[in-house]
Amino acid sequence: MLRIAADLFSGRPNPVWTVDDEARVRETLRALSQEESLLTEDVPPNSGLGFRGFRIQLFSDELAQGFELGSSVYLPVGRESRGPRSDELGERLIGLLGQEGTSVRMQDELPPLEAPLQQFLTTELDYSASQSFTAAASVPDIAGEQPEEAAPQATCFYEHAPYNPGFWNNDSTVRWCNNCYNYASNWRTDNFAQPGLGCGSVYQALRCDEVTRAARCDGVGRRYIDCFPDPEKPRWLIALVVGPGYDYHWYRYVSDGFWGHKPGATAVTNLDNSNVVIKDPKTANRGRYTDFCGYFYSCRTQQRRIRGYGC
Amino acid sequence: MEIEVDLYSGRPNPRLPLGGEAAAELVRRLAALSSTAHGSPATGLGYRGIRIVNESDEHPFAEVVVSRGVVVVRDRQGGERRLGDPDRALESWLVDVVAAGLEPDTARYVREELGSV
Repeated sequence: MLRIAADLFSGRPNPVWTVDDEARVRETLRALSQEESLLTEDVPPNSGLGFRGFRIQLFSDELAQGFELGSSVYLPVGRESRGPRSDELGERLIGLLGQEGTSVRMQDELPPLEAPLQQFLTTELDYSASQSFTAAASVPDIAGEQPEEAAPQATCFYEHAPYNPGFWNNDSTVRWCNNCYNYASNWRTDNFAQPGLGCGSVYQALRCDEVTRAARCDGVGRRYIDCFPDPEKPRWLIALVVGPGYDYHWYRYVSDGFWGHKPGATAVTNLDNSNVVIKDPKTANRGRYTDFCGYFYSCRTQQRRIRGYGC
Repeated sequence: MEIEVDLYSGRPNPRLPLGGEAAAELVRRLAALSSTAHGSPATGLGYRGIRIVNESDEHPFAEVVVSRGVVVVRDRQGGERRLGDPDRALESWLVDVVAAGLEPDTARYVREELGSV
């Protein structure tokens, strides 16, 4: 048996559900153990108010065999999450609520939640994920402060995260199975994401206009034009370049004042082909990627939509 | 065994099966190489090298990366050996092996990068 508690309330008791189906317990433990780097022993200190995570408890060591997990682990989400896949794992744990063999501990004497438990938790988890980048201040995208290719028609806001190449480089599956589009979107799919595939209209030619069209179909926005609202956080500033007829490539702006990129299945780096830190992809040494297509915004909807053919 | 030409960033790299005599020849050529402590595979945008992935237990290695005069051989236990590839001879041979399966422009570009045209 697996017991899961959604750790989100401050006053009222947290929702708790138990999973008795052995196969489902093993599937869940396998998913958790494959993402061990996202787990902690307990709730992170100073997690504050809101959806902090999930406490997962096992009641015998028999089911835990082969998964390298202790009797209790914690999955931080939202602001305290250890990686972009934490919320996906959280969604999976919430999804167990609708399955046969799962029972919920109800507090009948308390006022009911605003919605059925599964729907309520999904909404709260989404909200928590959208707030996870409010700690890193949003940046107004104003002309002159960053490289630009056109006069701004609006002031949009975007987020930027610290440069964290280890997330992409240390695990060989993550490194080999995620490309520049994954890195720019800051969303690991492990299947080499292709612009437009997630929305059903993958690029048909390796030209700026066509890759741009496909990425916009996924939900990428044009800089200064397609401003995304707060629920679309994290909104990353990204850039697209193309080697006509050859390939495309994406970069992402990071907090440290430079741009990171992931050349295919190789390691994430902040250096260009001249081994110079990338201050602007437009002027960086890009080798065969001669055409600069422009700056764009990635957003939450696009990140959740992207996918590839496989790895 | 599959051979992958590592040259793209966004689109998937070309990947072709490598079997029969070519696979046996690769094993022979690897056995003839000496260890090295110098050099590292190419990084960055553009052609970086050749990667061979071996999913079967027929050969003792899981992955071989041949790039810029260095051959990195990885086994299934996570062990790694570095061999020298003088004059990039192994890399050139692998490009010859795979060239027929590439788009003509791509094959030409890879050969140019190798300096063999």
